[in-house]
Amino acid sequence: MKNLIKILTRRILTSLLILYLIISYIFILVRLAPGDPTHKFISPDLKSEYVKKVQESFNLDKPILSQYFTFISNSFKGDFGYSFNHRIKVENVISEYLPVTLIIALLSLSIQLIASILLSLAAFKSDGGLLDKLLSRASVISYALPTFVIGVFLVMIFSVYLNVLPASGIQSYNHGDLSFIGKILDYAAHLTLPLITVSLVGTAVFYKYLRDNLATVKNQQFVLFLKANGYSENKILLKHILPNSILPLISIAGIEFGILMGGTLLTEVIFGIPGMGRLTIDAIFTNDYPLVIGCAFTSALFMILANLLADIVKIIINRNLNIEGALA
Amino acid sequence: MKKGFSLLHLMLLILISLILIRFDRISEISNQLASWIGLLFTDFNSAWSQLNLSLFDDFMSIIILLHVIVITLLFKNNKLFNTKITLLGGSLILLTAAILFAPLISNQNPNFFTDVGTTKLLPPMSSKKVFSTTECTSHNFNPGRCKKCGLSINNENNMVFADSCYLSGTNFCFFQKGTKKTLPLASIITSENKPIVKNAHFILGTDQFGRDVFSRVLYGARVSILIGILATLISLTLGISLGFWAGFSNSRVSIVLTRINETFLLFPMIFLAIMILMFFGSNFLSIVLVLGLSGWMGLFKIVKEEVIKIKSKDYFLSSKALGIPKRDLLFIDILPVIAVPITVNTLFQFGNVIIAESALSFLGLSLSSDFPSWGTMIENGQEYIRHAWWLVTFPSLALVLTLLLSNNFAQFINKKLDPRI
Repeated sequence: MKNLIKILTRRILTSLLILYLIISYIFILVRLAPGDPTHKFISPDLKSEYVKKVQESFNLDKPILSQYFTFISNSFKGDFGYSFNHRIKVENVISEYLPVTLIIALLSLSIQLIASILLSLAAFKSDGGLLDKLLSRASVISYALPTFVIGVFLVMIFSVYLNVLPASGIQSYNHGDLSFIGKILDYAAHLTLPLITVSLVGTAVFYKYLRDNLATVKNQQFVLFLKANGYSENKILLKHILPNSILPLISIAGIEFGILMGGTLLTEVIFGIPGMGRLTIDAIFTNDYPLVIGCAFTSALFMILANLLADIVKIIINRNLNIEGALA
Repeated sequence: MKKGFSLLHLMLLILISLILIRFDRISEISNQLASWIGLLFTDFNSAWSQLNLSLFDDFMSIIILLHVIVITLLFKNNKLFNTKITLLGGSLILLTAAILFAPLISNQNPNFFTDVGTTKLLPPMSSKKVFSTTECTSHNFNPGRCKKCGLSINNENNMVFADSCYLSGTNFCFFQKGTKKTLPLASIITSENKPIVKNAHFILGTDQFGRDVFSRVLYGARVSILIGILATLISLTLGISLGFWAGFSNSRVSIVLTRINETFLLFPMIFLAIMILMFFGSNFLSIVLVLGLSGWMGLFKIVKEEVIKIKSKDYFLSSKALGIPKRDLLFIDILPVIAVPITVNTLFQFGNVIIAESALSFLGLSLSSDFPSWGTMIENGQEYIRHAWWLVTFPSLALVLTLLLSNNFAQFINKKLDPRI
């Protein structure tokens, strides 16, 4: 246990270092970029003393090094300054957009896990049968599908030609008038296509891992022993083979969650969802320095947290695992 | 010799059908090449100044075609050519042929704006009659139609695209979008008193500017694959050299490199790519660099771990004790051992790069429209999704098929080379 705490502290410290490195990279990149964010707030007729004042209000008048040090010391307090476009604190902007992405990522991760478990169990049952072959082909194909191609095609089929599901946004224009159940159904209708788009590739990856693991665990000695003792096939499968096969999936799930937090970007652009991806792109396109850094910080933070959490869960579930090996 | 449809048969089939179907185009380019070479000896400077990218492309495709024919005939008894063809190999060869012979296969330049008035958003498998006129030389365009002559006409070379046309006396009649128009025969470009009327086929339809979707998809393959190969080469070099360095040197360097690797891994790469391209402009080189820089992490990990493993093996210790320099150690003792995982990882990386490139162009951050890219085509086609399904479908199909091909190839290599299976 003492060993575990020691390793975890080391791990958290390096994570902090990496986080600091990432925001420093972004700071440098943003400042190297051409274009002046104050430009669009300054009228060409403005007197030079007022121009100075505008620049002062953006904190862009000091030398770059001192800007960097104030930025770093502020960022440790969790203060990223004011967004140039939204004119409110970066944290407030992000807290407005983050929940959407967080909900999509969590829903998508659970869909991926449940779908891949059900599908791989079905494939395992028909070992080598038609369903198994079909699913393995489908997983190979969906692994080669880029997210935006899936999104565009889903919109084309379900929104344009069949006209059954909405193509953009997360709520209808008359959302406020709907009853409680109507509101939930409205959200569900709007989120169906984006969730399929985000989840398809991940499901294929999970399916492949789980299907292989099931086949490996099935051939192990203890399964034979249980069979010899007269346990029913279903009980062995659900109580012994499945839990043993899911274990390696947890670390992949953690990484997948991190990817989802940064990777729903294309889906958000296609479906017009007001999430972190859209916010990030808008911030980059409009040279909104503090917001760009805030967005990068958030997505990197979630990536690191997800990885850390996956490692901890892995250790807790499997105490016999070599801790050094698990965290190396 | 084995029976069945072999590699040689497929190549001969491609070559023969290419020559038969596109004989006009091939002879045209060959004539061009011959006259250009003639010009090169008489007036070097003007010949050199005429050479632009598309002309060079045409010439190269003819030269490569000749080489392929010669090689096929010379080595027709080679073992490689007589192996039985699989779906994977066949598609690989088809893709290569499409990339090499794009100027021969496609009808027109991918950026050729035919005529916005009559040929925009044509469905697949449609064809038009084409003829040239001297009726009006300086056009005054009201969108799509010239005010002076009332024709829907191509601005650059006065080409008219019509549904059908016929000759009546000294007048030349044709239909454009259902309305009948006539021009005096004297104003039509003729040969032996007959107007030159060609057929323009649009196999996969046209886009909103009247550009041929088929040629754009074909040329898009070149852009995607070239970027994929170059970016993968960059990540390969970075991954192997840094991984070797980290595995081989003392722990301090190793820790620094590993931290850098982790930073890159934890950083959402598409984010960085968007930032760099957005801020510093997107040209071919910067896209290749960005994609190459964002893909070396997996290779670094593999190489580092394998090098650390090999470092304690006896054969390596003895080579080191013999005083072999570090560079030779890498090439003789380490690279052959880790060749298999590197190859497989590189091939998967190639697929990822193609996805990333098309995702970037989908966001509007890739090359200008001079380079047709699949991602850009899909993004543009999205606006016309209600009226023109072919604008989205065909580039996506090409993209997905290429990715499937590269993934399958990676798996094939993995199976072939992996000693454990």
